[in-house]
Amino acid sequence: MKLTAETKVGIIVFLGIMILTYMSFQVGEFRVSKKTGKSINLIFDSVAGLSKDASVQVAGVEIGKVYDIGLKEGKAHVNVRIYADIDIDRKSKAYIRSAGLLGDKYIDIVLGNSGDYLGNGGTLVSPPESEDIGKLVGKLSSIADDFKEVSTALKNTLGGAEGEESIRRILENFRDLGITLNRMVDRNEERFTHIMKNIDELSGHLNQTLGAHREDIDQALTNARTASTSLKNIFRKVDEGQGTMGRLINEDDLSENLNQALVSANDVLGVKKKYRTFVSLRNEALVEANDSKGYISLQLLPRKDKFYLFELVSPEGTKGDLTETRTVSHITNRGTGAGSDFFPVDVTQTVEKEKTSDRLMYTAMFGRRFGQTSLRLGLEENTGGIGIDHTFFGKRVGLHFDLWDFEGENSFGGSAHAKIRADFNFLKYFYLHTGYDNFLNTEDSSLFYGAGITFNDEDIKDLFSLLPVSR
Amino acid sequence: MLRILEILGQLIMVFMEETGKVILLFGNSLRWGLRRPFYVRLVVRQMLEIGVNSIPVVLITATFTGMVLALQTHTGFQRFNAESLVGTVVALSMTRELGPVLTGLIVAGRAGSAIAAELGTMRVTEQIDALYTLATNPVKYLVVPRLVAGTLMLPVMTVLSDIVGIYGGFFVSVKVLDANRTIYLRRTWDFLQFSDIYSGLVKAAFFGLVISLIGCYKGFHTRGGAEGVGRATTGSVVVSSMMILISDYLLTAILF
Amino acid sequence: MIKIVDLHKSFQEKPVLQGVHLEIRDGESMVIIGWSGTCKSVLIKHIIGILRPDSGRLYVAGEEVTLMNEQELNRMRKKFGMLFQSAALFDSLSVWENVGFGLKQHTALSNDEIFEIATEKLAMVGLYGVEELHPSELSGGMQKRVGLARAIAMEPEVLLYDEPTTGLDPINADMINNLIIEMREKLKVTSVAITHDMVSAYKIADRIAMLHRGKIIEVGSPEEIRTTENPYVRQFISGNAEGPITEDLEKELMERSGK
Repeated sequence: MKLTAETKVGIIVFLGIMILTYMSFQVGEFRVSKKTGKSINLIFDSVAGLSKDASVQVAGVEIGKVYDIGLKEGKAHVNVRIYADIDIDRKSKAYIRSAGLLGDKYIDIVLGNSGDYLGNGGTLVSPPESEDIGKLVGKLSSIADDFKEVSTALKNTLGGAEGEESIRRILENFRDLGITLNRMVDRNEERFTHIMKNIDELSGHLNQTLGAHREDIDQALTNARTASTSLKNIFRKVDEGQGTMGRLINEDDLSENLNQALVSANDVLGVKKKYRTFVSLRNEALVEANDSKGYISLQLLPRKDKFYLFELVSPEGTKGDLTETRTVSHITNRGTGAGSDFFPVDVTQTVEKEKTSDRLMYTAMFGRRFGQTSLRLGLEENTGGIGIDHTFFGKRVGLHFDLWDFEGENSFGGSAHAKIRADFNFLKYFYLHTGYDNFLNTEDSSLFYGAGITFNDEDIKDLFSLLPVSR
Repeated sequence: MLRILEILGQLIMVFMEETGKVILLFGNSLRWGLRRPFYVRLVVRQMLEIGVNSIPVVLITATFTGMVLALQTHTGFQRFNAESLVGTVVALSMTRELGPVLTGLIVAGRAGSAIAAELGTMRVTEQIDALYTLATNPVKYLVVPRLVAGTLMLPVMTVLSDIVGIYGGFFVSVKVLDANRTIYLRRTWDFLQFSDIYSGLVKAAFFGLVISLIGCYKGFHTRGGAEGVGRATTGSVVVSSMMILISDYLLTAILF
Repeated sequence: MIKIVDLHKSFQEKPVLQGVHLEIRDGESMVIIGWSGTCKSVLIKHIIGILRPDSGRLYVAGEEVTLMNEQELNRMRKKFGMLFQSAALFDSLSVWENVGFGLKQHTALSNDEIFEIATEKLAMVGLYGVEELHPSELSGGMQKRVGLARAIAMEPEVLLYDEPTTGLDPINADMINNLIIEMREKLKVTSVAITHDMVSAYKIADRIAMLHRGKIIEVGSPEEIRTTENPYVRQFISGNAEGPITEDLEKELMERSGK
């Protein structure tokens, strides 16, 4: 059959129209309108970056598209069309997430399980968003405003003799605070040494004293009681000190503004609530090595199951380069009882064998937590190391095992440095600990004990807000 | 110096005169085109000449354009890991730009020149005068069907070249460059809007009109025998190609 | 039938017609002669309204052509049939479609009827069995005859011939001459022919007009023309290379190159 001109043209034009129809159904915007599906309203605080026809997903599977975005009472109302055969639970949560290189926004619905489902036209109010950059910037600027107020107040305060007077008084108060703190530290040291001595005695004579030496045990318990009484004293004094400081500040404006500023600061810190921080200081007395070790550690927890540990370690005597000699001072307390004045009376200077320089050592470890147990990996006291931690009784008791310096370069025995440690959190901020250090190298191995103090970011914040402001 | 200005002035005058004549021809066509009788059969015949017979060339060109587009964008995009967007680029380029423009250029070269040659020959052999003597307006009989056919056929051919271009790119991406076919197709269609295709078709219709109009004008105003016909043919291709590219920019800038 | 009054026309400031006066009577056969390059066909194209004069008037059957719009012109043109120098057949159409073109455009006749009429007209010009052929398949003489058949297909009142015998061998030329005479006798049409072929002119003309330098310089019967005193006409009809026409031309050329 020969095709006529009309037929040929007809075929081509028809083909063109068919393809055009096909393409029009393929292109993004018309595909969805075909299957309208169930309509659901989602309310968000912000839908920045979300556009029409953005995908709506459950567990990564597209179930619908964004149909319309509107604004009502300052909230974003997003109308979505669910065309998948799926019921949305009333307890579901919707989040705006971004995917892909271009950061296309989509709505992620995490289905709830209340068994009560949204019907057509139902509404789901989304939980408050995690902070976005915009909000953070907003907050920071409000803080800046607060600080401006503070500085304005300060300027007002500083003007004139009255202001000068109040500044002088503030400085005086700070000096007083310093004195009080010094005394506190002294008393701490004394008490701790005392406690440790008792513990030392306790452990040293445990076998003999059990049963036979009732008095000794009684004596130890008495000592422990005395120790805790002393600690209580310390805290009472701190409380008094705070009260005094608070009273001393009588500039209402200043304190008010400062208060505001700090509340804002709290908010900022609150933004980072997930990002928790622990700061702790601890000391270890090595019994057999007749030495001590100090630690300052900072633990950052960006997530519940993840943390970073940074420690500064003041070196013990028997480590590092084995060439230098060093003088170590031991402060021995000869005073008696609590409440009396304490001061160092006897200073013994001992020349140790091969000693090292005073250089600090660093620990930087990455950790993962699995329930009560966590694993650490990283740099430990300047060498590669691993660690495992476990907590019992609601974190009151902790057990730690560390292994580092696998080549044994810093120890006499040439084996890896291993350490086991147990700590007891008997008060909120204080803990005692004991353990066995470097037990793989007999020459260096030593029992140790010590005490520590730990704060988390909340505490630091509270200290900041309480110390200068409360009256 | 004066001579240069003189020549320049002359060129501008000639250009203005020609533009005016083209526009007059278009006005005449509108006037005659809206008047009965309508030469449907002639329109169909021209649709065959302008459109259908150009289709193999258009399709081959579009296929390879889509293919090379995929190849080139892939090379560029993989430098920043955006290979998945190749489909989008190919689809957008084809529908918005290359589909209509390439079709236009090919039709200008193939059919536009044929129009100019045919009408030019008719002019020099007095066939156009003969039409007058037979009480038939040559604008109505010769020009209007070509304009209508060009305006109708170009969009149709553009749709065809769009689709073969897109699938040419798809073929290269999936079979040669080993892209994920599902993602590629998703990216192709997700970002494409009907307005992209539509804007391409509007352009194509305009190009079709321009090609036919210039071909007719050049043919209609042919002088000087066989040589004149040759000049008209070349002129129509050059002018309509330039007009396509210039009007393409203007249409894109103004309308879309 | 046709009256031309003071017709002027220039192309790009070059005057072609400079005040032509001519009257063609009903039913007569007028032959306009002139040297090539005098744009005789320009005059004939004015008659049928393809060209518009710069000034002057032109009447066909009492109606002023120069004032007509395109539609009125088309109506007027249906009274005309024209045979072109090169026949000007439509290449894309077959012979019968060429002949029936006017019928197709202006009547409601079916294709079969048109074919029949075309066959009849072709028979009148002595062509048989060529209906389905294309113009390119025909010889020059045959093309002319098809052109003539097309010109008479609409049964016109006036037939215009543009160089009917040019480019044909003497036998074919004479056959065309015979056909022109035949048409006039059979169809009672007014004929206007332009030619430089004096043999043809003497044969077909009732009256002859000579166009020279944009003007009609002599009108008369073939006998009058043959015996004219006008040196220009004399040079032309005798076919002399030397005479006032060429002298004027040479003078003009000299002047132009002298500038």
